[in-house]
Amino acid sequence: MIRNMVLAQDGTKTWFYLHSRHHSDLFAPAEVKDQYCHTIYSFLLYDNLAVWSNNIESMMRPNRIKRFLGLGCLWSEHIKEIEAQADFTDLRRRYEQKVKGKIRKMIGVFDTTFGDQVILTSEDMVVFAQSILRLLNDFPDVEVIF
Amino acid sequence: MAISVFSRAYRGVLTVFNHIKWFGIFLIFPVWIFSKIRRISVKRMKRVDCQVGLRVYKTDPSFFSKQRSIDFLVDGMSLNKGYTIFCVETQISDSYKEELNKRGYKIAYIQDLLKDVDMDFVKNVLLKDFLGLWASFLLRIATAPDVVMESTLKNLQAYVLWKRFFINIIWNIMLYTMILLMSM
Repeated sequence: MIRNMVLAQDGTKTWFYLHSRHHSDLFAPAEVKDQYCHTIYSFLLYDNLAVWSNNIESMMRPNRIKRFLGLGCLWSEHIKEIEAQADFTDLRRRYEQKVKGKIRKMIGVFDTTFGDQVILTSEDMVVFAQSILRLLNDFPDVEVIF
Repeated sequence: MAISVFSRAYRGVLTVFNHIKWFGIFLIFPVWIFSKIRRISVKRMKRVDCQVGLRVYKTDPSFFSKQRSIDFLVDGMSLNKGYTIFCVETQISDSYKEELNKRGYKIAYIQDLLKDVDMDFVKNVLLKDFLGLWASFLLRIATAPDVVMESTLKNLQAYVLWKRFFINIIWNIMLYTMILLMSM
């Protein structure tokens, strides 16, 4: 807070970006979900805060943030970059030939932290990957970038 | 289950000890801050013109991580190294430092900013602001909880370091930003 106060005294605008939507409120009971606020997000003082969604915004509201910007997934820019690559265009064309149809929907899928020290385990991620495969099988006009 | 008398007594002694420890740290804090200074220039230091500051810290989405690599100065147009400064706020590995240097970025090691200061900074920030604040807190801090003492010390340190950043290092910074990367 002190750093940002000194920055503000000098006329500097401060920005804070959240890199993830993987916060512990996802695992909180429904009755306390709305009131959830993690200690690492306390006493924040920023001019701008870029968030992924409205519920993250409500989680950050107790802080002193002047403006919230709902930008969606921060990493989705990678999709644009991948789309521009020749290899990807070729892959897409071959896939369309294979399924004899046009891809109508493209979904960007981003993994999250998993392991022994965090809530989600390797087994959870296997289920996640299997679910993506099932989605692709059920909807052949959907394309996934993972 | 009731807490034993021994545990209560032990806890009481520990609380008193911690309180004395933090108050002692608070008393010698100015000495510690002044001991960080290695050189004082009589002439006012020349500042660099930067418009964007990016926060670098130990657990940030680093430039050379095995899993992901991020470089904010991607296109060199909307963000370029000419007017961007990387502010290293915590200890980072030597390889991370090397990576920043290799790319020719402007870097400010915030924790080391007190090594070189000028007279202007000593007079206006250290002697006037910092010592004035410290003395005013000293009158009330003895009865404050330990956590208040600790956070007051951290805030005083942050104030001094960031004032130094503006007075001696940089000017015209328009924007300071950070991305938080933390596994939860």
